[in-house]
Amino acid sequence: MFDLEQSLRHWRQEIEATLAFANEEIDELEDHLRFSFAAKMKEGLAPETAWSRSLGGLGSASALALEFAKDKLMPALWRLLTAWWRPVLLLFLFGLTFVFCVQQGWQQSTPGYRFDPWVSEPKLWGMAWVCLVATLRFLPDKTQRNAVLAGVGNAFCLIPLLHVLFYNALTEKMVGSGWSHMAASFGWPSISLSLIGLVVLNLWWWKRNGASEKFPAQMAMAGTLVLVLTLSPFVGELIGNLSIREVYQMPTASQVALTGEVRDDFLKWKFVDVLINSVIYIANILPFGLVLLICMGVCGIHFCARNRSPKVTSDKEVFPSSATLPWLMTLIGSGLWWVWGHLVEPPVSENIRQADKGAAHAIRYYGGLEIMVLLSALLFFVCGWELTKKLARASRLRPFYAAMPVVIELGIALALPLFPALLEMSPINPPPSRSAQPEWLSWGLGSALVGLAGYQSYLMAKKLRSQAGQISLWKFDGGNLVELGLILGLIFAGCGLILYMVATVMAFESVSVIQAMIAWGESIQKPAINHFYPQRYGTPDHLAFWVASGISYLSLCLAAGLGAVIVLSALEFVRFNSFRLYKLRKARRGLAENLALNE
Amino acid sequence: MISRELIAASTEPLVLSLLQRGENYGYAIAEKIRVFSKGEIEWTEGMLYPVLHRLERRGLLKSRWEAVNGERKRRYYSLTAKGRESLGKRRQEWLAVHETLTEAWGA
Repeated sequence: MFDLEQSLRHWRQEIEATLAFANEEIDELEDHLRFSFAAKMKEGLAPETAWSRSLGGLGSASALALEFAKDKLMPALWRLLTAWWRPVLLLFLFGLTFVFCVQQGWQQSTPGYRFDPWVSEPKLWGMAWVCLVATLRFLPDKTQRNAVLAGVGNAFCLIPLLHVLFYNALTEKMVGSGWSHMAASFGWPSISLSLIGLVVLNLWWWKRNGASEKFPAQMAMAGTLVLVLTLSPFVGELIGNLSIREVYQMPTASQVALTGEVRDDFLKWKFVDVLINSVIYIANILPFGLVLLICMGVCGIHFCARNRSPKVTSDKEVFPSSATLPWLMTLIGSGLWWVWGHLVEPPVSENIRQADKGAAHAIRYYGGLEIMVLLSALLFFVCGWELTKKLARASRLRPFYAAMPVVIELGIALALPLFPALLEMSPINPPPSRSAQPEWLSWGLGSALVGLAGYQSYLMAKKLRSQAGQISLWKFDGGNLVELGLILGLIFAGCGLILYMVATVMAFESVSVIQAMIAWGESIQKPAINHFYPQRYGTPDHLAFWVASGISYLSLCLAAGLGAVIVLSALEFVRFNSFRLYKLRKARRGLAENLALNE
Repeated sequence: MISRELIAASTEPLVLSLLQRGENYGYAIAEKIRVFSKGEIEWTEGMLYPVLHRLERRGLLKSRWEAVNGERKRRYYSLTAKGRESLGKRRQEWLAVHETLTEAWGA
């Protein structure tokens, strides 16, 4: 039996999911559909046929979304600007403060430091251009071409950014100088070019060429390329990347007591190697797979329930739904890492106490960081998805663009307590005196940051208060798997940050062990082992290692998150198209029945 | 069947002309276009709304919501003075094109 209200509800959900319409616009289109349906019923059509023809007459959700969005580009840019100016300003102030905090000390320690901003960027840009043109030539379909071009373009704009970071993080220049110096001046031409490329591609090019509906596909393709290029050992080797394997090996190596007995030590080393590989799989791939399986399971259950029992599809609350699941995962993930961190911490903390001041600070603030991550996870868990949707509706931006500014601002507000640690963690021994910075600058920037963070907390609190009353109204709406992918990326970054902090703290302590290993490797002339350490960690520069491995690790998390987007985009594609196929078959069946009746 | 380019060019003057006869809502406008063109103008009805909204933003139309059947509401559009003025100009343009073509074909 055809139910018009239910069909309209499904249609509304589909239209709302495009986020291109204001509520009033949807109301207006719905009114049109009702009229059209009634008119076709009067002509004597069967309800199903009347409905499918009315829908066909009105146009598909994606075509309508594109048409409605055309006139909204400038307002959309304005909305984007109003949503993002605060986090951008905050990030700028944060970075500037950070650079000033550490730079003074670095400059004193490295007279005559010189940088080369044009590493090998022209080669990369040339390659990017050739690939873009080649792709353009070989793809016949315009939409496909636009999507692929935008995806590849995104990847190639991202890679120089990563390249500059990785390359410089581990060269001798870097080790002998300081990354704050680099951040202040190094590689700005390349970074600017990449950023301009990203802005042009994403804000202008693909919108103008009607590929905006392909955003997930673009992100997926960009992600694939970034993933492959950053994780590939060959490319990593070429651009001076610090692979994730080595990041993990450092702390574990510190636990190996070497005896000098070659055979014995070699076996121990093999053990470390195998252990590390297991950790990589367990820590990164297994949770990802589990999260994916659980998400698929929950979606599957809801899908079956929706098809079998109409009662479940009513607007009653279902909790936890697939929409709240990511936030639940954040909480669980953070909690697990927290527990894990505490299990691992005690054996090394005694050694760390013996180590330098920086490590002691790191471990002190590491505890604080755990709590902050847990708190933010709790906050997102309570109001995350609903808040995201609300922000997206209010600003009429895609959820990701609407929610990210808030996440960034929250992150900066939470990171503020880390400043004292950053001040102390300069490589100079003793640490630079705080009076090295101009006092007005510290006070000015500090107050500006605290003021903005306070204002933001006030806004957040207001939003949260209005949110609290509505928690009981949560309902399952099927969720959007692509958004889920992006959120998973954030979860990975969160988990990765904690794990990385553990690795860092252990690595602080491990320099002497590694030096012993270098000597040992040289003595037995094993190229495979020699390969790792002498060039890389010859100088026990803590901050350089900290920054380099941090960037490497976080980019891995990003890549893993983007990997999630790839998989989930594919799932979303299958889900969406199977739904469309189902509708099409149903409409055809209705038509056939109608014809049979008429005959 | 009329080409897409011509339909796109004539949509705005058509909408303005239909609203000159009095206030109306989206579905009725689309329906009238269909009837007046005797089915020759075939388009995706949803595309009418961005045109209406664009005209409203440019101040040629104004709209108001009216409640129907209790809960639901309907949006009615009507012509503004600026819209009337614009329609006058458009009319001149289209008549000029029409006359030129008639002249050319007659010769």
